[in-house]
Amino acid sequence: MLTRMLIAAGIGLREILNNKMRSFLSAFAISIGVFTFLFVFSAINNAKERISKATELGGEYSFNLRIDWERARKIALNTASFAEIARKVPEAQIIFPVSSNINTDIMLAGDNTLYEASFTGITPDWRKVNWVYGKVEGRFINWDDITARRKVAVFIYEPLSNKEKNYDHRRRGRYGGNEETKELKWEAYNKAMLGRKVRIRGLKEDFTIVGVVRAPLFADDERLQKNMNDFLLPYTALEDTFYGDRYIEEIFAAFKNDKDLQTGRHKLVNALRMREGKMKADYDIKTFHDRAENMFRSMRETLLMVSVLGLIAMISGGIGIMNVVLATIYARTKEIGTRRAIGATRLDIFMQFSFESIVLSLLGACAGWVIALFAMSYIADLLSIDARLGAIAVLCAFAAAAGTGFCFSLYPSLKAANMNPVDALKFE
Amino acid sequence: MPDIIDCRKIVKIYRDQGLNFKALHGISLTVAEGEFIAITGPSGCGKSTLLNILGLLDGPTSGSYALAGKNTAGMSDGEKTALRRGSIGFVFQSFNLFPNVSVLENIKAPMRYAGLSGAEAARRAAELLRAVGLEDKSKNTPLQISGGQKQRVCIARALANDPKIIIADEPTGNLDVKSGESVMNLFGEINAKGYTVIMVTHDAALAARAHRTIKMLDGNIIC
Repeated sequence: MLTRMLIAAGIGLREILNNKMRSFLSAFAISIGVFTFLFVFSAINNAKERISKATELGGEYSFNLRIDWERARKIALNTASFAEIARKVPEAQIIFPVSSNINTDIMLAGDNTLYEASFTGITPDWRKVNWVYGKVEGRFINWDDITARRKVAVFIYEPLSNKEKNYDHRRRGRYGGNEETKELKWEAYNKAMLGRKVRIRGLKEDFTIVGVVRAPLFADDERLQKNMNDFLLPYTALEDTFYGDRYIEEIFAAFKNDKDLQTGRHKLVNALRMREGKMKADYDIKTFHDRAENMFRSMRETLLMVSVLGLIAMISGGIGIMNVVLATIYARTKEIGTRRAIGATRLDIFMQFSFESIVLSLLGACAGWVIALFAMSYIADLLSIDARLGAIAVLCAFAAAAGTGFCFSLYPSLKAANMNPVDALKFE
Repeated sequence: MPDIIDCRKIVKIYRDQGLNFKALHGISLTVAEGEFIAITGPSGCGKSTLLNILGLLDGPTSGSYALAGKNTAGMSDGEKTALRRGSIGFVFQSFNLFPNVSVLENIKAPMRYAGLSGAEAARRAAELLRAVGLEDKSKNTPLQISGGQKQRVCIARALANDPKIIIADEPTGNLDVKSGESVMNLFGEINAKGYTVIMVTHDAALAARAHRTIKMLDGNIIC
């Protein structure tokens, strides 16, 4: 059987080479299909990776509870009363108030330049949830900072993306060198922030940077890193500095398992209802799965559109191949009769034509892969989707192309195999 | 010599658009092993139909056909193909060589279908090319050789699986006199080696070179 398959593959390849233009056009459509397949598969795969990363960061059994501003005033939850509420949810492994990010301009002591920065109020529990962040240079915010409402801050810096590493910063007069040097210089530059004083525009009091921590590389894509927080502050200090009479509007809680999450959620909601005085009040609760769903929703439509285009290209390629094989069979009817006369079985003839289609599809798949290697990142940028090529995606795309070639060659190959040898030999 | 071909009351009816056309009217024929038979007759007398049945490319509507002692009635397509591959070699009037591959590859094809390895098939194909006097043309494609040479290649291909029978349909029909003579001499040599040759021809002079001539008319053997 192997010999017969090799013969069939050899004949198929020879025919492809003998009809270069015809083969090229069919393979081209397949290559576009393969490229779009690779693109969609890679984008979905990357989204999954991001969700998995988000699971590491936020915990699978966690939620964020949001209270709108007006009701937050009524509930009047501040740092002191929050501790009381937290005690009512013993199932929570971590529970802390989440502050809104405050985006403002800052100045560093000894530097009159204004920088954009964002501030997030946290408790030391933040570290338990965000354990994938790097080692803290200096120290992290502790409970004493919270209770003493100290004006201290932890500075978060983001690692260089590959694009940045490869970018020639010397042209812009910034740090240069090879990838490793750039990384070291970048690290040193950020660690030098330790001990510096930060002045928020419009305020007289300074925050002292007591710690520097490196964020993980979420994705090798600057767009995803732009929303990262630059400074973490004790929640109380943030409250004193920015909020005035504002109250806690968001609570994050993480649990060991789903059962604890359900119980904890129930207890927290009840405690808030008691405080609000409305036993039927509802709160906006987003679980981890809701967040993951949100991540997917934004790219779903784009991916669907790309998938449809890919499918159309793949089907067009398949139809092209079917057309080529039908034309080939017509042109080679006499050859089919001769092959049957000299000993080829129906299976041999079937394999000859289906292999030709599969080889053609695989050549198209190779071309699609090459296109993907060069064009993937540019098109991903264009559609604002994070997509990187993976080995599994490539294998699946090749299998899909071979499958398309085979499926669309079934009819012509069967037609050729079932040809009457006498009629085929008479054909002129 | 035992009979290698034994046909009894072979009838072949073609059905086309509801009409029946009887191409063979109950032909009975035996061919002994090593015989050289010429089948002659006017166009449309049923020569090619008989040849196709003898070559297992087509089946009779009724009657029996035994090839090398094996009754072919009820054989599957696969069984007939296997029997054909091992027992019959075909030589066509228009050569029917594969134009895009070398002469050597053309001769290798039946052996490859029979399961011989590429190297073994190439070795035997080279031998056969030498036997038909074309050893220097092995790398040429059929488009690069003359008509007479093409027919020699076709004969070499017919002999590839060392069959018992060579079926030739007007083998000199597309050749000039000199090339035709040369091809007929080759058939004579092949027959002398023990191969059974069944040849269809219009040419009485060529038919005279056979051991026996079968004349056909309107689907019957007349003598």
